[in-house]
Order: sequence, then structure tokens, then C-alpha cells
Amino acid sequence: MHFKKIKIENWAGLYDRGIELKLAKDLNLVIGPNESGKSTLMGALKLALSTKASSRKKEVEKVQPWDTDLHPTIELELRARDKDYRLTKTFLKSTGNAEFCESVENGEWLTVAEGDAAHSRFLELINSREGEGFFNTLWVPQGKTIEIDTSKGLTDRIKQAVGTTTSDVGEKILSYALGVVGDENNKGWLTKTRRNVASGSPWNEAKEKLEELKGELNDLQAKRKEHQENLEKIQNLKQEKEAFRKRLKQKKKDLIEKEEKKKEWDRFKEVKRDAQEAKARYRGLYENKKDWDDKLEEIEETLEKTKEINGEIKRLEEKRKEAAKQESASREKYDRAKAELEGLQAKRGYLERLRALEINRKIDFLAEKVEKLGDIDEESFSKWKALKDEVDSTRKQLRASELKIGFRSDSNLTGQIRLDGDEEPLDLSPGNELERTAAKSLEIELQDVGKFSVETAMERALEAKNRVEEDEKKLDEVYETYGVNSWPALHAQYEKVKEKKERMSELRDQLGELDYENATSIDEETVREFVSESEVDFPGEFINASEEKSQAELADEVERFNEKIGDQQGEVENLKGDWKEKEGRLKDVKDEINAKKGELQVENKALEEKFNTLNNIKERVKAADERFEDIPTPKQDGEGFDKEAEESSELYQELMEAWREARRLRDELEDDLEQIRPKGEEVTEDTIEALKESLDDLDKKISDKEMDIRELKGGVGETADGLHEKIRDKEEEIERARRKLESAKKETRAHELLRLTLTEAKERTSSEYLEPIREKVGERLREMTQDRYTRAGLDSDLTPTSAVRSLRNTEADSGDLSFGTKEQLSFLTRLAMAEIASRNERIPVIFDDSLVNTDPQRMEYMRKYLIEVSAKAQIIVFTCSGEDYKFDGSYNRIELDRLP
Amino acid sequence: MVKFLHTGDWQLGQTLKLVGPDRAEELRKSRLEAIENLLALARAEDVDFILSAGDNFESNQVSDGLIRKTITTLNDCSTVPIYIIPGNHDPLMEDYPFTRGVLGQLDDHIHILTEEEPVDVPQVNASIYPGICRHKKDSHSPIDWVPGRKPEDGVRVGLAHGSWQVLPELPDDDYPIAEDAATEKDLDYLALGHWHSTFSSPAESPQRTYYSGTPEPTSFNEGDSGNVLIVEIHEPKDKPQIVKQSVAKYSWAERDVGVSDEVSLEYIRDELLSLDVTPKKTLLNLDVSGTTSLEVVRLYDDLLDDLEDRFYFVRDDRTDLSLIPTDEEIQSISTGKGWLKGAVENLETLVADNCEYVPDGWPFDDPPKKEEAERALALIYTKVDEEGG
Repeated sequence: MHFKKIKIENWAGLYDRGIELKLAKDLNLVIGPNESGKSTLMGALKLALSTKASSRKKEVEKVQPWDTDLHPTIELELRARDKDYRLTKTFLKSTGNAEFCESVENGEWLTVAEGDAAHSRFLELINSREGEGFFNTLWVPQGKTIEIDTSKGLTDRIKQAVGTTTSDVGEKILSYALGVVGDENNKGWLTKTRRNVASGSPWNEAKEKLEELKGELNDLQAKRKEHQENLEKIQNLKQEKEAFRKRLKQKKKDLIEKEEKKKEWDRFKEVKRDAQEAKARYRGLYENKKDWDDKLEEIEETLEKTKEINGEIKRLEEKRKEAAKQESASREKYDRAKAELEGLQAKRGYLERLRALEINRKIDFLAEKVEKLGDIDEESFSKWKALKDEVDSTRKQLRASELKIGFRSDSNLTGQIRLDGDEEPLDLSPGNELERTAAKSLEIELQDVGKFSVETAMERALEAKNRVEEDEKKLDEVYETYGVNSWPALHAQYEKVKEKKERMSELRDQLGELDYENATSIDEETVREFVSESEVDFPGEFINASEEKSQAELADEVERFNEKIGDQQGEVENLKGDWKEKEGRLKDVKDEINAKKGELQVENKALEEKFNTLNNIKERVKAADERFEDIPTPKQDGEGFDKEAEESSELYQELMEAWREARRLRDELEDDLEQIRPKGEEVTEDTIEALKESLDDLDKKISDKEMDIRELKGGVGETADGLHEKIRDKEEEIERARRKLESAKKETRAHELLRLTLTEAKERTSSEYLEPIREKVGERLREMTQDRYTRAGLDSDLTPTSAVRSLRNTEADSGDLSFGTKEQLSFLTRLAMAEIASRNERIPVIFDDSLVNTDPQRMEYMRKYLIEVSAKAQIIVFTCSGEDYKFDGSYNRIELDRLP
Repeated sequence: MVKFLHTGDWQLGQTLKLVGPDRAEELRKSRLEAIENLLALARAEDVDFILSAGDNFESNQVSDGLIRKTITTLNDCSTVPIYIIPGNHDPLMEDYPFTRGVLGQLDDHIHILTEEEPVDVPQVNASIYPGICRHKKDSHSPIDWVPGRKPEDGVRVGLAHGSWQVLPELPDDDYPIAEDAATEKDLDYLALGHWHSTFSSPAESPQRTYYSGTPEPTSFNEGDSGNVLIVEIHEPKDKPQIVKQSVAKYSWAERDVGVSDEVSLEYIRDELLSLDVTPKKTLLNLDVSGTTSLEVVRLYDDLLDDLEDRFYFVRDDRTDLSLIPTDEEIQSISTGKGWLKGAVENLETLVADNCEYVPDGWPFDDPPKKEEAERALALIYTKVDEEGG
């Protein structure tokens, strides 16, 4: 279908002026300045398509020129299904307000319908139930560029064009299913996440009801369980009671038996006591007899032993005598050798003392000499020597200074000074002021003192001179002290003293070598004392010969004595060893004798004790039985002891007789006891008492059980009443609730299944008609943006949602796109829709200055696409300026004038 | 000659989950009526005594009211001596209804047997040997205790509640009663309770062990319930003569029906209406199987509505009924309706493949069930119909 002519008259601001457009089937460009009636024209077209001529709605009334009775009229000529048609609508007129004509031959029009029918026929022709919607989509009014309000008529038409189907019934069933289960947005039987059922839904209500009932049933069942447990308890209590009763009966029987048994036991115990007594008597007699026998045996043994020990002692005494003899001989020898050693030692002591005396005399002599010479010790001498060296050195210097400066040591600083290289010395005498001054200003280098002025040098020299003189005075004092007149004399004297002292020291060393400590204090007196006090007799010739001897000879003599003493000491040691051995042997024999005597003593003591015991035993036997009479006298020392006599004593014989009698009685009673011993455990009074107690205990237990049973029975009767009916009713109710839940579950799931399968089928169809449009838009988008964008996203309403950037293949939402790109995307979408919808027959598409945000470069593409699409669809572009739409080739250009 | 009526398993206070609260109450009432019937029958047949083989009550914890009603019925409706034992539903415990006490005086002709000892029936040459259930379960025979026959013994009648070991795979703690118990104990008749259908075994020779069954049916899967047995024994060791008598008010019928086409529905209708029962006193259970179309299912629903009007109660189980729409049905609901066809085809696939395919976005853990897919299809079918398409 395409418009061939649009003509309006009496329309709003146009008043009685009319506008008529004659349109080509392909590309039309309507250029008109503002206020040239473009918008009025389009408003009229919209009203013609959507509104019956009989309508009196406000929008209709508004199009009547103000303050007139003019009837707004629109006349559309169009071609559809290979025929021309004309629709004329005159609004606000009482009759004959619309006419729908079909062209016949010769340019004649045949009226096909009038009035409201005309409107319907027209809509049928353009295959739309909603003319305005259809028009909306492909008419792009100013400022509404981006929003696409897809009408059903158009989508149907596109679907028809691409061969897919719509389904009104399907839509209805889908919306019914949605109403039941809801979808992700709508409230229904399922929750938004659809993982659960929504509260208030039949499923959820049934579920909750069932849970509630199950809870109630659980409570009832718990009650029943408790009831049953109580029944079990009663049953158990009854069984227990029965068991107690049986036991009670048994115990009573037991009691009678036990009482009988106890009598037997009492008799048995009586005999047992007699037997025990007999046994005790037998045991007592046996013990006495045994003790008596044992004691006699022991006494005999002990007597034997004492005899043996006495023999031993005698033999040992002989041995002791022999050992004593040997010991005394050995000791005598030893004493003699020892006396000889002491004599030798005394003589050596005398000789040593004589030697010490000699040395002491020499030392005294030397000390006297030293005293006469004056004792110059080494330390003082070194001090003086240092002083002397100092004096000599200073003198030497002074002399050197004098040589150099011709210095004469007077305090007036006179004298001569000879400078190096000068033959004539300077005369520095007073009066020769010039020289003096010159000399004063000269710097003279003194050896060891550094550079000084002559004056300073002279001052220093003077100082040294004074010091030397003082030192020389000190030295003179020393010389005077030691009676010499010069340093060499003092030195020689010092050497002499030193030599004497060394000699004295040597002598003292010799003294130290002597074998006693206080050798330094030896004098003639002490020597005499030694001799007179010594226990050894010194022969006169020995004394005289020794006194004749020199110190050296004495030393040799001492050495000889030392040797002798050494030998004698060896001899003495040997003899002492021999004697000690003999002495030891003697002691051993003595010890042995003493030990034996000790043993003998012990045995004697034991013997005494045994006799005492024997007597005690006899006393005991006597006391044990009045028949026993005789007690023989005890023999404390064992002399004359006769075992046989003891054994044949009257008492002993009586004891034997009594013992045999007791043994016989014991054996007899023990035999009796074996015969009357009752079988089984012993029954005592305690046993009987315990049995009686347990009877009472059982009685009590039985009555306790009876009480417990009574108590439980009452409760059981109460709970039993109607518990079954309560549980039964609950179970029946649960079954009903369960079935209701099953049914609700099935219904919900079936409806969800229905919704999903319907949605899936619908979406599959949508994609069938969306795809060609998407492809077409994408193709042009790529070209226009020079591959900046590769694909366009369109939702099922054909609204552009996104564009895919080629770079990184990311998707930009329409909100992220520039206004211009969005506008172009919508423009391209409309072109594609028009192109595809026009596959079977053209449809018109109207743009009212739609591309206001498009740059010239893209505008060029847009023009190209308009031309392309105009080959299939009718395109009508309204614009206020023709600049943007300068098409190459032929197109229908209409220019409107501005209204007056 | 000894003549007595054998009954048991009255199950008074029974639980009925399927029938809804009102019917359940009516059916429970009918159980007491059945007792009135059997007592009247006992009078009419002039029996010497009545034996009831346990499970007189569904549970020991029934209400005092029910016990009172029962005792009143027993007191008022007959003076024939009746001997009652406890069963596994109402074992002899402290709450056993007949001995719970304070619930009304049992008349002298009513004997509640609670001890394992022979009971001589006065003025009749017969002794009863009762087995007593003292718990819900027991793995011992309740008549183990019965002593051998003595020369002076008259007719020896065993009365017990338990499972007779003539059938395979019986639980072993359900009061087992040996297959040859009657022979072994030299009983002239062994009156059993526990199984709700009247039952005896032809393998026993001579036949003298019988289950009387419940006097009023309790469920659909009882083959032959609603009866009591009238037993006559001329002399000890004679073969008993048995006559089965129905005393039930309601019958419970169960039928397998095949649904395929409209004709099959006619057939079902005819079959059910010609059943030898009073429909208004009959509970009907239908196990439906077959493969059929949307339209036939709708017609079957209509038939069910009709049956519900005629019978006391009707239920059906459609687990084995498969719904496969015909090509015409598919066409009628999809032709000219655009993409709806796609949805129908999807659902059809689900039905045919037993839902092996799960649609995108299916929110539940388990895949859709065949019956759900069928329901979804039926919904489309109904909606299309409503839209006049």
C-alpha cells in the first residue's frame, strides 16, 4: 500500500485553505519552512487513520478551525493490492461524513462503504485492526526519533512477510498460565526465584496445612507412645510382683528347712568344741614333752661343746709361750742396732756443731772488717755514682760552652766570644757596648740545649755551674764519711766491702747446708752443752781429734758419718721388721686364746640358761596336771648331768602317759565329728534372721509394686479414652491434606510447564521475524560506522537495546551510545522494518526531520539507505530545509509555502 | 450337636482415610449395625453360642463412648452366650476396652476370655480353648498351651487371633499359628480371626480351620468380607458343617477398567451398572489403564461424575492411563493458532518420551512428570475449546 494523494481542507489553522500532496510510490521529499502546515498535515493523516468520521472526541473537535462551522475534511488516495482506493472523511458533520471508494475504469470511483463502515473497510485493506498503531511505528514525528512504539499490526505484517505465525489463543493461554504461576516479575503460585512456592498459593497452603497436621499427629502419637510405655510398665510391674510373690513362697519354704538344718549344726558345733578342747590338751602335752626332750638334747650337746673349747685353749697356751720367746730375742737385737745408730748420729751432730762453730767465727771476723771499712751498700753506691756521672757530664758541657763562647764564668757577663771562622774573639767587656750588644743579639747554638741567645746561654751555663758545684759538695761529704778523698778511693773501698759480704754470704750458705736449723746460733757453749747432755759417751780421743780438724776436714768427717748412719739405719729397719713380725705372731695367738675363752663363756652362759629353761619346763608340766608331782633338782653347771636319768624320772614318765591318753581322745572325737557333720553351708542364727528379714522385704516390695500398679492404672484408663479416635481423625485429615497437596503440586507444575512451553514456542517465533531485521540493521550499521559497530541488539518489541563494538567485542547498551548513534540505530531499524514489511506490498514510512543529530558523513549513508529502501517501500520525508536531503537521481520533491 | 456362630475382626472405630469425614463416620456406624445383624442372625439360627476371634476394636484406645455403645448392643440385642478374645489390635493390656472397667456392666451371657484355660460352655457338650493376645506382636502361637484330648472331652473348639501359616511370606511375629494346629491339638474346629476375608484351606483335611472374616468390609482389597460363619458339629471328631452368611451393610468393589475410546467408556458404564450390588451402598475403586485421547478423557470424567451420583463412593487411580492426543485433536488445537502449535508439539514430546526432556528454566529438582505434561496439554485443549476454536 502506498499513498498517492493526501489532501486536507478546512483544517485547524489552515481555515478554508487546503493542502494537497501528490506522492510518488517510492521516494518523496516534502520541503516546507516552519508554519507551512507539515505538522497539521500529519496530524490530519493520523486522525484519518485512527478515528471514525463520526467521532466527537476532543481531538476531533480541536481540528475544526477556530470559531467557524467549517468541516475538516481529509481525502486519501492510495494503492493497495493492485487497486486504487480513496478514503474521504469529513469530521463534525452529522451525516455522510465518510466514504470509501474503489477505482473503476476510466478514473471513476465506486463507493464501497460509507460512514463507520468506510473506516472499517479501510483498516481491513491495510490489514490492521489498529490503524493508528501501525501508523505510529513508521511515522517518526519530530523529537520521537528514538522510541519505537511497535504496533501489533506492524509486527503481524512483518511476521506475515517473513512467514512466521502469531497466536492470539496462545497469548491468551500464556497469560492465563502466567496468571496462575506468575513469572519472574508477576506474582503467582511460584516465587520470583521459582525455586519455591509462593506463600498463599494453593501448594504452599496445602503444604503448611499438612505440616501443621503432622505436627499435631506427632503430639498425639507421642501421647500414645507414652500411654503404651505406661502399659508396658504396668505389665512389667505385674511380672515383677509375680516374681516377688514366687520368691516369697520359696523363701518361706527355705526358712522351715533352714531352721531344721540349724539344729543339726548346733549339735555338730557342740561336738566340735569338745574335739577342739581335746586337741588343745593334746597339743599342750605334746608341746611340753617336745620341749623337755629338745632341752635335754640341747644340754647334752652344749656340754660336749664346752669340753672341746677347753682342749683348744690349752693347746694355744703352749703356742703363745714359744712366740713370746722369739719376740723378745728379736727385740733385743733391734734395740742394740738402734743404740748404735743413735751413737753415730750423736757423733755426727757433734762434728756438725764444730763445723758450724768454725763458720760462725769466720763470719764474725768478716763482719768486723766490713764495719771497719764502712758498710757501703749497693743502692747508695749506685746513687752516688749517678751523681758523679752527672757532675762529670755537666763539667764537660760547661767546658765545651766555654770553648765555644769563650765564656768566662763571671756574673758580670764579661768575656770573649769567638765566632766560627773569626780569628779574633769579640771582647764583650763592659765598655765595649757595641760588641756586647752584638753578642747579645747573636744566637748561639749550644750542644744539647738548642739555640739560645748568648744571654740565655750564659744564664743557663751559670745555672749549670751552680748545680755542679752543689753536687760536688755532696760528693765531698760522702768521701769524708768513708774516710777517702776521691771517687776512685771510694770505689775501691766499696769493692772491698762487697767482696767481704759475698764471702760471708757463702759461709752462711754453708751453714744452711748443715743438718740442723739453728746453726747460726752455735757457739762454744752450745757445743759443750751438746756433749754434756748427750746420752752417748764421746771418747776423749774423738773429741780431741775433732777439735784439731779444720772446717773442710770436719765437712769430710760429717760426710763419712752420714754414710755410716745410712748403713746402720738400714740394719735397724730390718731388725725392726723382724721384731714386728714376731710381735704380730704373738698377738695372733693371744687373740685366738681370748676368742676361745669368749666362746667358752658363751657356751657356759647358754648352758645355764638351758638348765633354767629345763626347770621351767618341769614347773610347767607340773602345773599342767595335778597328777604330776616330782620335780628333780636342776643341775645348773652341767656337772653330773645324765640324760637317761632325766628321762626315767617319774615326772617325765607321767607326762608321756598323759600325752598318749590325750592323743587317743583327740582322734576319737575327730572321727565322731566327721560322722555328724551336716551337709551344705552352715546355718546360723544370722542366716535365719536374714531370711526372715528378706521375707519382710519381699512383702514390702510386693505391696510397693501393687501401689505403683494402682497408680499407673488410673492414668492409663484416662488416656485410653478416645485417643484412638483423635489419632484416627488426624490421620484421615492428613490423608486429605496430602491429596490436596499432591493435587496443588501437580497443578502448579503443570501450569509452570504450560507457561514454559508456551514461552519457548513464542520466543522461537519471535526470533524468526526479528532475525532478518537484526541482520539488515547490522549490515547497514557496520557500513555506516565503518565497522566500529558490528551488530545491533533488538528486543522482541523491535526496540534497539544495544550495539556491539567491534573493538574487544563488547556490547554497549543503548544508554551508553551517543544520541546521534541511537537516533541512527532507530532510523535504520525503521527502514529495515519498512523494507521487510514491504516484501509483499509497499507500506509507507514517514520521517519528520528525524535525523537532526546526524553528521554530514553519516547523513550521506542515510540518504543512500533511503534510496535503497524506497525501491520497496514508500518513503515520505518532511523537512524544513532541503539541504540534508539532496538525493542523486529522481525523486518526488514537493515544496510547501509558509502560510500567510 | 453343637451349633455356634463364628465372627471376629469387628474393628470398631476403624480408620478410613479415603472416603472423607462424613462417609467415614457413616461407615464406622455401619460396623455396629453389622454386629446387630449378626446377633439377630444368631438368634434366628438358634445357635448355642457365639465366638468372636479378637480385634473387636480397632485399638484399645477407643473412646469410652464407643465401648459403652458396644456393650449396650451386646447386652440388648441377644442373650446368646458370646465368647470374646482380645486380638492384636486390642491386646489384653490394662486398657483393653472390655476390661477397662467403669464402662457399664456386661451381662452374664458375655464372656471375655483372658486366661489360657479351657472354658466349658454350660449345657453344651463343648469346650473352648482360647488363645490370648497380650501384645501387638508375638512370635509364639497363642494356642501352644492347648492340652491333648481327654476321653471325657466333648467338642473341642479353638478360638484364636493370628496368622495361619498356610500362606507364603507371612511375618513371623504376627502370632503364627501352625498349618496343622487343629490336627496337632486335636481340635474339632479352630475359629480364627485376623484376616478380614472369609478363608479356609482346601489343603486341610478335613477342613476345620476357618477365618470368618470381618462382618463389615474394611477396604477394597478384601476378596470376601462382610460375613459370619454358622458352624455345626454333631459329635466330637465329626467334620464341621459350615454355612457362610453375609451381614454387611456396605460392599466395597474394585474393578480394573481399560479406557481407550468412547465405546470402551460405554462398556465400563454397562459393567459397573450391572454389578450385583446396591450402588448406593457400594464403594467403588477403579484402576484405570489404557491409552486415550483428550476428548475421551473428558468423556471419562463425565462418566465418573455420573458414577459418583449413582454409587455411595467412587475413586479412581489413573496412574496407568496414558493420554495421547489424536492427530485431529492436535490439529484442532493448533491449526491456525500460530506458534501455539509449537507449544503443543513440545508437550506432546514430553508425554511421548515420558518427560525425558526438561524445558529451559524448569525450576524444580525433578523433571516434569508425564501426568503433568498431560495436564498441561489438557489445559490447552480446554482453553482452545473455551475460545471457541
